[in-house]
Amino acid sequence: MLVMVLGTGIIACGSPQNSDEEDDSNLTEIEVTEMDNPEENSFLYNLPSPLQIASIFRRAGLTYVPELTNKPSNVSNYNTKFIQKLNFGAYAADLAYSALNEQNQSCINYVQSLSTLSESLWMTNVFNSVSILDRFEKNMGNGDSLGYIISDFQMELDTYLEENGLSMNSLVIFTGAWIESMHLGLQSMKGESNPVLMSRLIEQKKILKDLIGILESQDNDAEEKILIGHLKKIEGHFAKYNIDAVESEEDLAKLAMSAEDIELLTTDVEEARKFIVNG
Amino acid sequence: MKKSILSLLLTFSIIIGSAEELQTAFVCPSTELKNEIKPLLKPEYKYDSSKITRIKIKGQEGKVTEVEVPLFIGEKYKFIFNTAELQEDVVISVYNKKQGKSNRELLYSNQNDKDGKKTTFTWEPEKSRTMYINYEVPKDAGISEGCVVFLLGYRI
Repeated sequence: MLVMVLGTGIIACGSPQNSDEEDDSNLTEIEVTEMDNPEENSFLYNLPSPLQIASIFRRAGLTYVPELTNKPSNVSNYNTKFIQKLNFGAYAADLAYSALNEQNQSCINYVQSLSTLSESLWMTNVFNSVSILDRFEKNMGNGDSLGYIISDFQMELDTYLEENGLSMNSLVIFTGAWIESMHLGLQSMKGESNPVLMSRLIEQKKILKDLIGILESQDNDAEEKILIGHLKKIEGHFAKYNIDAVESEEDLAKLAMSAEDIELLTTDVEEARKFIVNG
Repeated sequence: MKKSILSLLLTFSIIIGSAEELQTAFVCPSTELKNEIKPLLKPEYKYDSSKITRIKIKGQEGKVTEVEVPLFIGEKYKFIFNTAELQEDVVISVYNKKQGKSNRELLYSNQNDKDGKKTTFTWEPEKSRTMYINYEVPKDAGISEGCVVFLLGYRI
C-alpha cells in the first residue's frame, strides 16, 4: 500500500482518464517521475490544498459550526495506516476550517491530533521542520498568520511525500481532506440554503473526477476499493453538471441543485465520512 | 585457476558498473529548488500546491510531458517554475486544453523569456480554469536527466 511500484515503467503523461484524442506515442522515450525514486509510480496531476478549498467555501458563506468537525480525541481510535492517513487529511481540513474561523483552541487541538498521527505515519520530521505547534501558539488570534503556517506545513508535507516516493499516501490524505471539506460544506447548509456555496460544492466535481481517475489507475487493495466506491457514489450526483463548460463566476453561480438532490448527495458524503472517522 | 580469474573479472566489472551507475545517478534537489522560489509567492499569494517533475530524455525524438492543474473559477493564481536543474532546451508552455484536443490555445510559454541564465519563471493567468503545463523537449535533445519544480500560489 505504501509504495506502488511500477519498476522503471514509463509514466503516462496527462490525464489518467483515457482519451482517444491523446497521443500515447510519447510514452516511449521520455521517462517522467515526480519523485527521486524512479521505482515510484507517479501521476502528473496537481491537486489543490485543503486550505484553498476551505477558503473558497468560506468566501461562499460557509459558516462555523463547531460540532461538525471530527473530534480531536478520536485520534486514538485510528489503528490502521490507511485509516490514519484518511484521518490525517480529515484533521487537516478541520484545522483549515478552524483557522479560517479563528478558533484558536480548536486549531491547537487539531495540530496535536495531526502530530499524533504523524508519529504513527513516520512523518514527525514534517512537523518539526515548520515548528507548527510553537508557531500556532505564538500567533493565536491572527487568522492570516495561521493560514500562512498551514500553507508552510502543506508545502513541507508535499515535499516530504514527494521526496520519499509516497504519492499514494498523498492521494489518500487528500481524499480524507476532500471528503471532510464536502461534509463541512453540506452540513453547514442544513436548514438554510446557500446557492453560492452550493455552486462551489458542485465545482468540486472536477477535482473528484481527477481524484477517482488517479486512485483507480493504481493497483488498489480492498480498503482503497471501498474508498473509491464511496467517491463514485458521490460523483454520480454531479453527473448532469458540465463543469468544463463553466467559464466565469456568473456561469458557476447558475449551477444549482434541488433540495432533494442535496439530501441524496449529503447522505452519500456522510456515508463516506463515516468510513473515515469511525475508523 | 581459470574459474578464479573469471570470478575476479566478474566482480571487478560489477564494481566498475556500480561506480558508473553512482556517477550518473541524478538526484533532484527538490527542497532547495522549492525554497528558492517560495519567496516569489509573497506578498499576494499563498502556497497551494507543487509538483516536482523529473525528466529523463532517453532518445532523439521531440516529446512532451503534461501536468494537469485544476484551478477554481474566479480565483487568482501564480505559476512559478524553477528550472535550475532542468535541461536547457526544455520549453515550458501552458495550454487551456490537454494534448490532442481541438481548439487548444497556448496561454504562456517561457520560450522568449529564456536568456540562458534565467532559472525562475512566473506567470499569473488572467482567467482561472483547468490548465495544462507542457514540458516540451525538442528533437535531438540527446540523453540527459533533469527536474523542474512547479509551485502554485493562490491570491489571498
